[in-house]
Amino acid sequence: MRAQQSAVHLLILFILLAALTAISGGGANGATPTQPPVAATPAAPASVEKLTVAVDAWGFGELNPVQNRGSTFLRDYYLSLLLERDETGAIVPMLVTEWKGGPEGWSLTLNPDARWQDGSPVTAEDLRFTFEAGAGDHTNPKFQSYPQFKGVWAASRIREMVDEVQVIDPHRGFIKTTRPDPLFLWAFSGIGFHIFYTGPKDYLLKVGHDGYLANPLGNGPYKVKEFKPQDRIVFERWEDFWGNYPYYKKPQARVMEIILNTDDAARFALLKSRQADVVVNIPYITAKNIPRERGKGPLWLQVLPATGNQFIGFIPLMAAQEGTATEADLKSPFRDIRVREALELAIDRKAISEVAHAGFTTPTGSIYFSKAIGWRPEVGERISPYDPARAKQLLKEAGYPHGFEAHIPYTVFSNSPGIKEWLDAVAVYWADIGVRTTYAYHPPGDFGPRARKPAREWRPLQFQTMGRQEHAAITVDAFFRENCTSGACFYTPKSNKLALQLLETFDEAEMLRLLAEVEDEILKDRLVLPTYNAATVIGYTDRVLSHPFPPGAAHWMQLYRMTLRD
Amino acid sequence: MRRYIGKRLLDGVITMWVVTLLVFLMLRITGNPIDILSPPDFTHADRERLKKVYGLDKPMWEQYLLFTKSIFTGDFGQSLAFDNRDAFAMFFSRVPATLQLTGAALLFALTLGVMIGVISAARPDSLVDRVGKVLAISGQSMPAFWLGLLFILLFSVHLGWLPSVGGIDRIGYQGLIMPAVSLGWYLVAANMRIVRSSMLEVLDSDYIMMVRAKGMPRRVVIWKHALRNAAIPVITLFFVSLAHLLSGAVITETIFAWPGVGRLLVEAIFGRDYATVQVAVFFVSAGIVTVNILVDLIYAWLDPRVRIA
Repeated sequence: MRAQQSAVHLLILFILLAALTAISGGGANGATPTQPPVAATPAAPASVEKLTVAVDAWGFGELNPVQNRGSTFLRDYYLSLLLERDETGAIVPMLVTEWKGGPEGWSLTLNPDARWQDGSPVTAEDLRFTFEAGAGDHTNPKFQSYPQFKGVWAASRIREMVDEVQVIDPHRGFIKTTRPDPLFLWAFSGIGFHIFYTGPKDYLLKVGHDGYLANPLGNGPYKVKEFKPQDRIVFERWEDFWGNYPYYKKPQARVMEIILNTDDAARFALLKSRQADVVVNIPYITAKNIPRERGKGPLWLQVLPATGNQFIGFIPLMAAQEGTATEADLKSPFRDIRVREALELAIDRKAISEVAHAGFTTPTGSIYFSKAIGWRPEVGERISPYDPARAKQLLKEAGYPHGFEAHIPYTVFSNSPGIKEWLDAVAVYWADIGVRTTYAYHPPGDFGPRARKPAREWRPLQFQTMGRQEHAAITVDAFFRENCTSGACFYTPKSNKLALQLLETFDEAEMLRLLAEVEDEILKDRLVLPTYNAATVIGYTDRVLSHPFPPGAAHWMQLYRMTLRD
Repeated sequence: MRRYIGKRLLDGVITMWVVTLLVFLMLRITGNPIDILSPPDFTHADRERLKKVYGLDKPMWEQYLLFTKSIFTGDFGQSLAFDNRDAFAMFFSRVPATLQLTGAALLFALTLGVMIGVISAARPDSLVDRVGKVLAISGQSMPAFWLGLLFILLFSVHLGWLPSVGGIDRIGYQGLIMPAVSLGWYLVAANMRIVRSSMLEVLDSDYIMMVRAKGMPRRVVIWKHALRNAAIPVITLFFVSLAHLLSGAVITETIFAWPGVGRLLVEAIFGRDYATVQVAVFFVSAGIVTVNILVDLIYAWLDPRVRIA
């Protein structure tokens, strides 16, 4: 009997081990029975049937361009932006073919070929309607009211920035701004944020919000065929799409399905099993063995180096400046610049990027995102040396020879992997100089309000992103001036003055000079500690031949430019 | 009996009221949706405007009165996280997928659990008994998400046999296999143990000995006479499991991107989508309370001592 029991146990153990060995065999790059051998790059056919993309997040899955709570990249496929950036990063036409800005406002000329998917032309009336309906519950007498729509998430920004939208003729409009606004297009055209998509006036007024959700009408390369919020969306190519730019034309895939799957392992499995052609946001540790170019394995990847510049903010400094400092803030070690310098010297940022982030992120010394206009390589690439001995010396000089305790609240926005790993490493580095560090995750929505003025609850430190701003002036507007738009502001009186000048400057050279001065001022006082530029890894099966996107494609990645084989 | 039914219904209504009150309060204590989902560069003015637009600037008591009214009128309002769609319609659009997954998981758990339980009881310490017990207990020992990932790795990635994402409308009935098995395997052990212990008890009873003495074939004794009497606790477990799974197999639905209620509820909670969370919790609670009342009533009907107690 005992022998029989042992035999059964051995058999079960063997089966389990065999199964585990079988399924764990082969790394990320390992060939599997379902993966065909790698072939030479074939020519892309004019049309393929289907493209399947799995993503970890798509923002607010809200379809109506004049009523929404937030941004979603899904709109990029059935609606067109005003302007776009090509793969060299240059600003190029989309719905708008000519644009000119001045202290009074911006003149825009619409592409006369642009059409809605019902065949009607896209006009300056549509543009005016989108601004006015998107402004929501406004009091501007120059705006027509559309109470049936609740407005867009950037309604306050429209109301603050736009005085009037004038229709010059069916294809020309003038947007009169409330003040000289050089960043207007960066906010609204699509080259900075993806918050503004022109809506079809006549159709929206005819069908209303619910009618639009049932049958969305766009002017982009795809039509919405099926949409299940927070689950999946299926697009069908619009065969009469008007776009004829090299970077914006009728896409190759007839059907494009985007699936939301928030589990990293399950999402990557979709790529390995070839159920998806593209998977967005592969964890660094999983991606490190996948080749970065096509043709070297069944899978390949590209890195989207544009998901935010991460930094540590020293809150006691700002609280003191804003007159909200507590006793603890006034006694905080972080008020001493030697301490802040010591903390920087104690971290080997290059090692973290190379090891913990598998080389996918870039350490930075700049407060600006590395692909943004205004970023200076001589600052961004100037990473302080790793010098724990000097760090200890500085702490001793500051009166903290035995260190102190620090706590870092942090959050993780979508497409920003590696934050936890970074903090793990920093805690170890700081422990070496006596700074005993703990950290705690907070959901983005919890973190944000508590990080902002007037709460500024996270003290003495907070680890956060500066967002994905393609123009450094937007970063300054959002973070580095008094009353900054994000509410999590870091500034000195001098940087604030420079920032205000910057935000009214149309001259590009002057803008760059002011951006540099603001950055120097912030870094001189070490108000924040820049850490690294985050990146998102996008994985492809070898069915995908190419996927060009702008070098700093911060907001989304133009899936319609992708080419596939059959 | 009528009095007993009335009392259980009243208990159910009170339970529902407490659940809805708790959900209402907890959602609001943990933050409002505009703050929760606004991006880092969202202005203070934008946030305040949206709070007003969605009625979140109203006093809490006023919001609660509106919510209570919605229960009676059936107008649960518009979803905040899902494009202002009707929250009631959003919830019910996900119910079929949850019922499919729950049904398949329970069917799997019941079939395998009963089979192993019966064989284990009929042939204790046999090879089948031992292998069956190991299989069942391994299901209970492994979390559903882990089992789900192992299945995906084996059957989707390495063998390429089964799809691993989407509901029946996307990938057909074969898409049910992995999520249902990974979800139901946990319940196999519970079913198996209950059936095994009940069967052992029944097989030792006088009437089974009588049937055996009459020369009835062994399989008829076991599967017809013994199992029928041993199955009552299994039916109870079935209803309890059904109620539990109705609230959504959150993790399984996430791993397999299954478009069910659990995933919707999680997304809605993360988005502080009050309307959707409230409608989902209300109807899921109603389902669970109803199932519990039904089970109580069946017990009371079967055993008068219950209603007297």
